[in-house]
Amino acid sequence: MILILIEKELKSILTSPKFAAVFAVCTVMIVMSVYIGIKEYKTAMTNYETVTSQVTQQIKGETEWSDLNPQITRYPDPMQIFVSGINNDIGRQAQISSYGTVNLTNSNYSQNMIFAVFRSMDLMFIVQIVLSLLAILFTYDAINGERERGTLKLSFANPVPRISYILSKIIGSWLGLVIPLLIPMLLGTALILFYKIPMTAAHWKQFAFLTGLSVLYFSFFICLGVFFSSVTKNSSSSFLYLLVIWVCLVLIIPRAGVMIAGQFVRVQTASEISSQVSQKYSELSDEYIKKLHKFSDEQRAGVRSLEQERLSSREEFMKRYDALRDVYRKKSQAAERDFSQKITEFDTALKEDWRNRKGARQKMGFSISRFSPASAYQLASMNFAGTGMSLKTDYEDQLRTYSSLLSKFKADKIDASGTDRYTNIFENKKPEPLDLSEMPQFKFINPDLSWIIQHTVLDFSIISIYILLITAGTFIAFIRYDVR
Amino acid sequence: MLKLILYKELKEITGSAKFAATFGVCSILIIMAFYTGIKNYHTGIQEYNDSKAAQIQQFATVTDWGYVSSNKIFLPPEPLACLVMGISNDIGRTATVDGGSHPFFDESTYSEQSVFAVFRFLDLEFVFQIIFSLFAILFAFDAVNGEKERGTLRLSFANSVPRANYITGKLTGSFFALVVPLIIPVLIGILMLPIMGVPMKTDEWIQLVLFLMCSFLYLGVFLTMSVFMSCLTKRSSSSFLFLLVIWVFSVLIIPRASVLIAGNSVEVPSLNSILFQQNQMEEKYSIERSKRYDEFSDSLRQELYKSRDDSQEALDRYLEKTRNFSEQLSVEYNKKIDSLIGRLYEERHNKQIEQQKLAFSISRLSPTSLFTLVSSALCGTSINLKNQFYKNAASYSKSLSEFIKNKTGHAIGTTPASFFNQDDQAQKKPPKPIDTGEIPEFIFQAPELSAVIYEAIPDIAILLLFNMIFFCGSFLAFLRYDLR
Repeated sequence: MILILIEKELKSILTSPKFAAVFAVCTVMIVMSVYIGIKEYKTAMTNYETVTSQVTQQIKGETEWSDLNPQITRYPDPMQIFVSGINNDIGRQAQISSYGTVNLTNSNYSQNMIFAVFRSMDLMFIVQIVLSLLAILFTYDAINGERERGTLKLSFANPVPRISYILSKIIGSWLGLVIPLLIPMLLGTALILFYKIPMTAAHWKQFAFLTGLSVLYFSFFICLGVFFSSVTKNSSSSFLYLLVIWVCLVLIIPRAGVMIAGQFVRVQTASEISSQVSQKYSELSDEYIKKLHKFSDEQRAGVRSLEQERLSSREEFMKRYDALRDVYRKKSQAAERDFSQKITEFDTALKEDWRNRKGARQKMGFSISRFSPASAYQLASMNFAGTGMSLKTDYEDQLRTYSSLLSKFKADKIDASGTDRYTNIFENKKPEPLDLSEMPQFKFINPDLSWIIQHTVLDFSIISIYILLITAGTFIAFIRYDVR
Repeated sequence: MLKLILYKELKEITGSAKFAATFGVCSILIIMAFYTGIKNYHTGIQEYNDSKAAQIQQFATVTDWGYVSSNKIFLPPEPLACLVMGISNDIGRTATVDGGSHPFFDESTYSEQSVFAVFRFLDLEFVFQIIFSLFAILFAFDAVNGEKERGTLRLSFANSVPRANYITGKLTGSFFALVVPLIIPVLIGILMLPIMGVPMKTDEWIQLVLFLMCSFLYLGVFLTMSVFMSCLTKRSSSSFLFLLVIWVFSVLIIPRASVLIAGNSVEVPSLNSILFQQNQMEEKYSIERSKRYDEFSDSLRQELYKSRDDSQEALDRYLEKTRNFSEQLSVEYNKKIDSLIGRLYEERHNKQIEQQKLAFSISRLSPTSLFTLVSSALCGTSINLKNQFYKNAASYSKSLSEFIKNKTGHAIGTTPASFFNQDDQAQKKPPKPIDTGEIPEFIFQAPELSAVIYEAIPDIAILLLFNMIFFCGSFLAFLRYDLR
């Protein structure tokens, strides 16, 4: 019995002109979004390669270890094709300085404003907004529509158990909508292969999870549609209610959650933070310059007393003169390291506090917005694509670690060479290019799948619970439904 | 007769459950958009003031005006941005000015507070653009064919009703039924602006009124389009389906596709490549400049040595000459770099304008894009905001450069005086901190009303044209409509 009912439901969906139109639109949109994503990824990759080669060229020309402050560009990840997340909003470059302060600057949207006007259309956007609306469009009259047309009474003229009927409605609608939508998804995947996008095994796993999550989210709206059609008499009423709920779930609650959190938790602006760092920097820099002058005075006094000693041998004079210069060099290097360490410590402490406050606001905002499955879906899919909130913090953390590693490397190299810029100037030496073969390279490590799953379990659970609750509600409502 | 039809239409719409639900949702959304916008404006003002104060505080302990040569300026929040955010959260709101003609912009709201970039804000433009346009369709998709399905169309035409009057009544009736109830929450929202302390100037009030008029024009497009579609189709379900597909294209596809097409057609040189060329040029000139300085300084030193004058006056003269020469070199090389880089920036700007023109021209096929462009232009948050900030920052940079030159006697970019005078300063009395009140204040000059209106007029005209086309289309289609 249930199979016949499912078949009937499938037939009625697949043969309707509504389905043909919607299927065509969805196919165009999904394929187009993947194509746009691929184009954007390729542009980002070209940009990355150009900047990286320019930076490599630049650092190859350096002759002083202390001047080795490379610029790091964010490496584009293929998953941004499906979910752009905050990828275009956060900075793409960071200047590694000797003082450990790392900031991502030059976001794509701030540099290419035209793309910020209408924003990007990725797969997540289509599933979240368009497909959810279409799921409603197909299911809002699943029960009450049959009642209006009189076919519900006809169906129950036969010995059909209500449970089987409603179950077949849900399964039939689900199969009728989900399976055809997997076709454009497969076309999108074919495009990825055609354009030879370097997707690793981990990327494919993430993509598979993303597809599963999208199906789950889509199922929620199918169930919601069937539920409302079981609790209302008229299809026009159920459509109206569903549209209002859709507007609230998809458009209002996600935004309202974060905006409410923004009002409750005050976070300092980046300018305030950087001003505080700059203020500290100028204080410490004054201290450092004073120290350098003191060492210089000491050295000058030493040279003067050396001259007054009137040593007979020039070799002896030069030996003691070099020793004095060596002391100056070591002291000034130690002062520079002390200055660098202090500013790094100050910056780290300040930013940690800043980040904690930001974290508190984010937690509150996302907790409120998770009332909506649309938010849960968005947050989870951003995590799967690696374009969520952690993208910025992870990058900055890894850049900071790299910065200290590079500083240590530079300090070791300066110590080992026993010379610096000033020695070269004093001794009139021609600066030589640096041997960069041992220079540490920055490589961003993406979060692994277990971390992603751990951070998306909550969102998966929220959507699943909503589906279970709504399905249970549909069963109860239909058992009591007046089929006349 | 027309009055009677209009009255009937108004009564029918306002008496429906659909109206009650949508009116409730619309009122809540409008008031919420005003409230959160105003709250955001105040948060923006607080952050702006805090950033400014932190910037001044940074210079509080500075004793040399030379340190002020690199100053940060901030874009103040625009009052109307609380209703139409446009690109105001995407552009860098902080500019670093250092006397050059190309200030560096960074710290966009979305890049620094990425939590808001995830779901974005819910502003009045978004409410009109997405939600109300959908409601407009919902109100009018069955204006004519719905009456036919219910059999009331034949009944109406059993009387001597001219078709022209009937369709005019339908169109104006649905428009008033949708727009008049919206005026109430809009007026409440407008009242909230002065009550909650948003400082609005006369020009801004005019811009707000124009924006609201454009919003109603935009709703008019969807309303007339829906009536037109209901005249072209026999069944309300078909007209709704077509309208939904058009809505998806207008709101979601055309705007994004246009930017994509323009992005692929016009290639804009990346900012990175310009910055790289600038770095290379600066490096090259720095070597050349050091060489020239060394030669000059050596010749002076030799002169001093030959004169056998070791008095303090002779040393001061030597220092003064080297300082003047260093400054002269700075001015000369800065000019060279500025003119070369200026050309690259200009080329990039021209390409950006070309790309923007193409994208916006294509996107104007969609009424939603037109509305986005016109509303952001009227509220001062269009792409021109960045250009305006850029112009203002560049002119401030010049005035800051003049100010620093007056204060220090040296142009920005030359060696700070403290490096020359450190010994004197250490031995004599401690230097006084600078008076931060003297630092020139950055005042952002928003474009004048005439410029704003000039920018918006073409889009307003196209919106009007859309209304007229669909109005005439409905008229013609209904004259040929089969009433049976």
